[in-house]
Amino acid sequence: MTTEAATAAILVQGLAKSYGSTQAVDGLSFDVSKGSIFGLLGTNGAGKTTTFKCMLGLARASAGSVLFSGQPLEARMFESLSYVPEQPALYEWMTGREHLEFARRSFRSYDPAIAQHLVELFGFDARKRVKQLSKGQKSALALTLAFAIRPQTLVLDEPSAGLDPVHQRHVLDLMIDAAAGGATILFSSHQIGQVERAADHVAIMHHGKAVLQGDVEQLRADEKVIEATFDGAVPTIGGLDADTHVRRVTRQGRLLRVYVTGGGNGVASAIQSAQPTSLRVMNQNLEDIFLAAVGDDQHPAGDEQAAPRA
Amino acid sequence: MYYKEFLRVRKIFTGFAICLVALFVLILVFSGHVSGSVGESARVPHGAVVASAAQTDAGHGPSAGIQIQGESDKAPIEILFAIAGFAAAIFGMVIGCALASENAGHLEVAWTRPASRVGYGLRVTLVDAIGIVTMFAFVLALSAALITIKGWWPDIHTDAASVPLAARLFAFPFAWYGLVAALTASLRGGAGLVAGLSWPVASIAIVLEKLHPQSILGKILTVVNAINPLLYVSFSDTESTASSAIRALVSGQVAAIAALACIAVFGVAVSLLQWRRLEA
Repeated sequence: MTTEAATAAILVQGLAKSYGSTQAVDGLSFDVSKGSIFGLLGTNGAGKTTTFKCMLGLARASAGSVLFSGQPLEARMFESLSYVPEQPALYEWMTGREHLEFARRSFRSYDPAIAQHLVELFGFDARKRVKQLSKGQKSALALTLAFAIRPQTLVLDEPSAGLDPVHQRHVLDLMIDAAAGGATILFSSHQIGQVERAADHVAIMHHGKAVLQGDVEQLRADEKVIEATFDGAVPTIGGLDADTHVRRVTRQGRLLRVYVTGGGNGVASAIQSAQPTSLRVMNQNLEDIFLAAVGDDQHPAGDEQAAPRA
Repeated sequence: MYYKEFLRVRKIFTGFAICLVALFVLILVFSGHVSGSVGESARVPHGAVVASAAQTDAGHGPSAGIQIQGESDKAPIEILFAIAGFAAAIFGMVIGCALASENAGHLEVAWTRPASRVGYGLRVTLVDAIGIVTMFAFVLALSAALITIKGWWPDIHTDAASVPLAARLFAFPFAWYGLVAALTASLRGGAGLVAGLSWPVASIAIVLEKLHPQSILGKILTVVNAINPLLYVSFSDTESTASSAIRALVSGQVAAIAALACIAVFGVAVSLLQWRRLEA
């Protein structure tokens, strides 16, 4: 464990969770620096929610450890740790106002001014019972409760689910503001554009494992896609699939796409030697990186194969 | 931290109170004159509940229990406690599903508070206990008000056995609460069904044990009925059932109260053990 990891706001090491024969989380490790925003990406069933539940003691991990500021989770830590689950676990029979009062009485750090501000920002009627609120309004209430206690650590599972684009933007702004104020944020989202905008670091989960993680800017700089078009069928290019820089190769008719990570020049040269009619080396956005990382079972396209990352 | 629990109990209590007040108003309006009517109007639905003419109570001699139809034409004061006890037991049955309702999609809220799980569960239990006491007192007061308004007090009598019997009926709803809590704590859905079925199942268990005391079923039910709160507030004229040993054991009021208290405490303990091990 590095010194940096040891002092991380959140340190997850070898986390595993199985349900019967299903391995929901499989040896997951990552760390989140204090004051940073960490995005957890993954397809449905990748294990993101289970990871959060295991981290917060809501589910028993089969293996691994989770430390918050170097300490194992204790109940008292929730004084400054907020969790917003994917499905807001609010009490249907209570009103929004009663939930706020419940939070006020439960958390010493609860700030009614923040709560009031967020109620107005999201524009939901706190006098209504939860069962009368829309899905988006329930999410807004859950987020209000989470941010109103001025947490030092926020774990948000799909925080924008059900919210309209305006309120989704508000959530992003809240996260960025909170991180700027020193809070550590770990969140998951299917909205890759939001993750790209807000997160400093990401981890991409697939089948319970982190298949790729790192600094967002660094990943974008490292990850390239080389696109080559040939006159006829894509020829066999020796050594391409074995190249450690190659993450994934797709062949679709006359089009060859090679996703490379770091040092793609050699790969481009190899492709160039096969005399394509055109050759382009492009930067990848986070969505490309995500799709390349999770492989072809999500987006099948022609003859495709993924290469494990070194 | 008690806010939500009080809110929950208060809301359920309010619903109960409205129904009970409506019921008592109906009784007030439609009940007849005092003479010969108290025993009938105040008869508890479970007829076996409060008749203990054959009960022997150490220190009190025979006939120490409640008598609806005894040698006296007067109704025992315990009838009020029986009504209060059963109303509070039904109330306890409803609020006894509290941990199960947390398990039905709210653990992410309940377990992300700066409080231990056992502490949270104990708080739920404490508030529920206060709710049961309040419901018991409320029904008792309502019954007393009805009797006062109708001028039935001269037809109510008390004796030395009234106090321990009242205590037994006071303990009864807590036992029912503990039983329901233990049965439902780990359920995600269907807790209400289990709680609702607990009454007929408990009643049938006692009847079947009485009908088939020597059969295997009867012997099994003898064991099962040891944790059946109804056993400790129900009496029959004869002691011919297989549970006579238990009944003899609990024939003393103190033993019965202790048995009910044990069911309550162990029920809550079992529910908390389950609660600690749940997963969201």
